[in-house]
Amino acid sequence: MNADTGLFALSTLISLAGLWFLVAWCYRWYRVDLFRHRVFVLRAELFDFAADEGIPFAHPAYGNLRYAMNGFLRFADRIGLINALMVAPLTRRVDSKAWKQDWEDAVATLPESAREKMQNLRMRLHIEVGKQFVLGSPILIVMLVPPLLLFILQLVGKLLINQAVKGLRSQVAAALEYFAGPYDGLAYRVGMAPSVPALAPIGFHRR
Amino acid sequence: MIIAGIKYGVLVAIARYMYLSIQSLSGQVTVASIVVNLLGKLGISQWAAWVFGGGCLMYAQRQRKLRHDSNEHQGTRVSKLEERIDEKRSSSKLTTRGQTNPRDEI
Repeated sequence: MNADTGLFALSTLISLAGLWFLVAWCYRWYRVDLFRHRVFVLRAELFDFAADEGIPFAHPAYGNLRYAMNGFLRFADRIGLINALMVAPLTRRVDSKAWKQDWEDAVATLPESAREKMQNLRMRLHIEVGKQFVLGSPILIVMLVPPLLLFILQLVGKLLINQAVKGLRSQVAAALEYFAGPYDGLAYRVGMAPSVPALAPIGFHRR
Repeated sequence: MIIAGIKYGVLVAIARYMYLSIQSLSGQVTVASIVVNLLGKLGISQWAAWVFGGGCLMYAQRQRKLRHDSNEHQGTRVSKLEERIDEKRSSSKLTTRGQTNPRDEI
């Protein structure tokens, strides 16, 4: 290897090390902090709802949801593809159905508005967890985001094309009406007439 | 452990290839000339890109520290106020700066 090639390889490797630090450390720190911030916002909303007497602090639904949020906050740095694969066998041993049953029993005792609010908070928590799971893992980003973008582009493209064609269709129809429409009357008369040899468009004119 | 293995494993691989590329240069150039050639061959645009990237990294680190300082200040206050309303208030057990508790780190 000559000196230039060696130096080029060295500078490329230094850049790669910097990029790897950005992806594996900096981006990860940012995603965890962002997730925690958003879940803290949800938890504050839950607290404010209880403080405004939307739900008692001692209600099991409040406790269940708050503890779930605390758990996600505490282990936010472990939400990811590899941890999920390792933890998946463990979750089968933990009786998560019991928690879900407790949750459903608890919210069933709430009035309609409070139940909706609690379900909404839980759904938004799940959305944040899903986003963290996908966007917190560079591998999943590379695997999922490009096909998703392509799918969205296709949808948008189809919508735009349909709209363009609809507009174009109506304009083409208007043009054809203008040029061919006047012949409808003539064609009608020709169609109605008994059969004659050479048919000449005698006296035809635009309406 | 697997995640740490992947993260540091990649760095080790990069370091190994850096060592190999430096080793291939032995006898041809000195360490000083490697540094001079690396820095000297950078054009203005490449210098600007490196300075911009490094600057952004430093800015992001400072912002992150500022946010953690803010968490420490605000978080303690909010916890105390919430405890006045709900004495049995549960905690996420993060540090006061909003980071993973060292006892919970793998």
